Order: sequence, then structure tokens, then C-alpha cells
Amino acid sequence: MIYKKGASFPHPVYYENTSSYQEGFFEFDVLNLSEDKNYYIFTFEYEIQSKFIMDLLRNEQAYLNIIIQSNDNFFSRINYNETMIKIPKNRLSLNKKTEVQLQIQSKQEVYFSETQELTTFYNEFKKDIVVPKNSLLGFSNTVRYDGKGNKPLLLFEYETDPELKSEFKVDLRPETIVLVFKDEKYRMKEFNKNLSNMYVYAGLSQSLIQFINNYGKDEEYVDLESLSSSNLDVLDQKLFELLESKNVDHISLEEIDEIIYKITDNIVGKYVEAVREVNNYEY
Amino acid sequence: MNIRLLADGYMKSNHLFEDFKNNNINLEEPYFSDEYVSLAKVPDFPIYMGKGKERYKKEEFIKAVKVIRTHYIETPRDIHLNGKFWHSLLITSKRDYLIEKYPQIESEKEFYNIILKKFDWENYIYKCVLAAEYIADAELSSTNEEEKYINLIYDNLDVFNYIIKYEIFRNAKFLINLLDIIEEENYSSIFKKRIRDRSDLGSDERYGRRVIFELNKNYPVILSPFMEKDDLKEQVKLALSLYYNEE
Repeated sequence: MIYKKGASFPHPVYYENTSSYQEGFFEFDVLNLSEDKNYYIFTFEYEIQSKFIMDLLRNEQAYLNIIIQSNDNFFSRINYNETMIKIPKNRLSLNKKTEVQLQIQSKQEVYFSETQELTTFYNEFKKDIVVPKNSLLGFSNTVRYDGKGNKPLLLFEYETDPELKSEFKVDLRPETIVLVFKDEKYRMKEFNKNLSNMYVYAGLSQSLIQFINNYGKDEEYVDLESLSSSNLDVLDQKLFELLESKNVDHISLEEIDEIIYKITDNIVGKYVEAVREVNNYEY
Repeated sequence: MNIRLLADGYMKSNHLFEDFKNNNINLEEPYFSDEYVSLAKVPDFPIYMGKGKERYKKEEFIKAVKVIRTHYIETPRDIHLNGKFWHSLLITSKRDYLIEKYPQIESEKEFYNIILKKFDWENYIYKCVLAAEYIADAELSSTNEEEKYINLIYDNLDVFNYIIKYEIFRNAKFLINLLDIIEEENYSSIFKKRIRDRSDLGSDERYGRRVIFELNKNYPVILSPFMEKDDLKEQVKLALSLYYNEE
């Protein structure tokens, strides 16, 4: 329900650095999160630099919605000059990674003919644009509340699940990459630990793909220098730090294997060594 | 009443099932943590409706939702939307009730399928907890109204299961709106029907599921979770018309 991408709308949408408006500035910040016995209380502020959008809100032609995504989604309509929201604890859980966002929804049809704020691309046909009611007009950045993040350095975890529908599965969780095995025997713990490298390889591969999907633009590429690490999921933050520490400055789907090679220590070579070692072992 | 919580990793424990089966559940065992949760009342309720005649399953569902609505959903969501809490409750406090009601849990496979089932949309307690929350949040005018909607949920369970799979639709307003639309437009039996003339969709697609699929696909260009009922009805009709033509 939190929306992060920017492309593929049939009408101009307002968000930070949108290419539809000449300037896009929609900054949202949660100032404080407190609680009493029954409620979570979020205090926040936001700034939208578009007069067009602010007029829509003031004139009640558009709604402002706050969305809180944690275990589930909570959303509520708020007044445009609201600075606080109280949410009952029996309807919101903050233990997992929580994200908050503001979205602007059209209350009635919206026309762009009178505004000068769109980019020149729209000059010729902006008078023809009619945005239907209940459409997304804009969205803010996402603010993250970390919850009880208590696994700062751990990237991989191992679990066994007899109910698994396959022998092995990579489970990308908010803080770690969990390698799940249907049976302990698949872990091969009794042998050289590098035999697990094939599982680690799969885990890294899938988590990097998810990273690219989360933050990549349409070209399936992420320029790490332009990424702000404060907006990342905990797992993505760990990956980001790992990539940075190995001087990787960009990642793309095409180069996943090269990236894994860069950020690990001969993961394939060591696996092969381990297999040879097992092969040579005399029982 | 204090419910002791299972420890992290309880699903992997080699002893939990054996101890439960042999009535040897011991709070000192490593599969328990030191944490506990306090609830005023923890009445029994049906936790599994996977087998049996329709009428029986429906009665069980309604019973479960009513009990959960009255006694469990005013707790913090940290508790009632937490699988570990429910599993802990069942293991520590419901053994007699469960063994009598679901004797098949003598088998380890059934134990994990019914008692320690993963807490997501396929878990019956999860379904009933969400149903109970949404019924409560809808602020209906009477218990009769509430019972009506619980019935509607069960009568449209296929669509309800699909709704709760998609996080954007997991809210009271959307569900109540949709149930109203299904009732007003008589969509219940159409939504359950298999789609037969679309081989590209696979062998088990239903009209109702595809409506939800289409609404999800259009998010956020069209903000269906935030719509009033009449606007949503238009979207539902549009989505349905992509698949269903009245002959």
C-alpha cells in the first residue's frame, strides 16, 4: 500500500523529483512516536511546494491519507493541516519494520488546464487531461520506524521447516536472509562449512535481485551513490553496507554474479575445494 | 490468565509434538520463553474448519468469529495478530479441548497442519481474527447485523481468502463495501464460479478472484481500498466485465 515507484501513471503524479512537474517536493517527517496505554501517537509534519496540489487540498478537492504499513496496513484520511494521529494498539502493531507515508487522493475530477507547474512536455495536451476521482495525485517519501531491530550484523540465518514444499528455500525477511531447509541433513553441517556456499550464493542472488527491484529504476540498475541509506529496509541496509565496503558503486540484474564475486571471498572456489576435500576423505 | 509464550524457534523443536501428544508439556522446557501475556478470558473456539459438511463448517466459522470478536480482538495486535501467541495459547491451555475436537492431531502431520499451522491467510484462526476485527471496526448497528456479515463472509469465503492475501485490501471498509456490493448485485454465485473460457488463466480461476486481482493490479492508479461503496461498485463491475458476460 505504500507506494515507492514513480512511473506508469496515465496522469501527472506529484512526488519528490517527479518528471511530470517542473519541481517536485513532497517531504514528510514523523517527528515523534509515543504511546499511552491504548494508543500509538504519531506526530508529524509535511511540506508540499506545489501550490496547485495545496490548493486542491485546501479546497477539499483532494484528500490527504496517511498510510502505516507494519504487520498490516492501516490508513486514515486526515485533514491537510493535521499534525497528529492516534491509532489504537488493538489495530496496529509496531514490532516489525514499520513504514509511514502520505498520499493524496482526488476527491473529484481534477483538471490541469490552469496550472503552470507541469513540465513543458504537457503543454499541448494538459487541457485534455482529466484525472478521475479516487486517483492517486501524489505521494510523499516513506518514513521508517525501526521497531525492535536487534540483529544488526547478522546477514544469514538458518532454519529447518519440515513443512517446506521444496528441499531448500531462500526466505528474505526484513532483517536477514534466512536459508530454510526441509531437513537438517541438507545443511551438511557435519562437513566443511563451505559446502553451504551454494545456499549462500542463492540467498545473495535473490536478495540482490530484490534490492534492485526495490530501488532500481526501470533499467534494472541501481546507482549506489545516489541511494540514501536512511530510507532502506534493514536487510537492504546491510547489503548496501556490504556493497559499499567492497567498493561496488552500482548493481544491475545483468551483473549479479560479478557482484557476488566482488563481495564474497571466492565463494565458488571455496565450495569446489570443499567438495574435492570430501571426495578425497578416506573413511 | 497468564499465557506463557513459546520461545523463538519453537517450530523446529523436536520435542514439542511428542510432549504435547504425551501430555508432558512443561513450561521449563527450552521451547518456552520467559515471556507471558495476560488475558482476562480465553474461551475455547473452533480453530480448524477444513473438514466436514458445509453446514457444520459454517457453524464452526461463525462460532469462532463471535468468540474471537468478543474476547480476543481488543488486545494489542502484537498479541492477536501474532502466530506465536495463538500457538502458545493452544499448546499451554487448550490441549483437552483440541484433542477431543480434532483427534487427528495425534498424527504429527496433522498436529502441524492444525495446531501449529503457519499464521497467514491459510490459517483458520488468522482468517477468523481478521473477520472479527473487520466486523468490529464496521461499527454495525446490532449483533444481528454482525451475524449477517459473518454469514456473508463465510458465504463468500473464496473471495474473502483472496482479499486477505492482498495487503492493500486488508481493511474493514473495503471488505464491508465489497460484501455489500456482492449482496446488492447478487454476485455471490457468479464470484464462486470457475472461469471456463479462458485457458490462459489456468484450470482453477474464479470470477471473484479475478475481480480482486484486477482491483489490485490497478492500485494505485485507482485507489480502490479508499473508495466509497458506489465508486467501488463501478470498479467491481468493470473488473468483472473483463471476464464475465451475461448470456
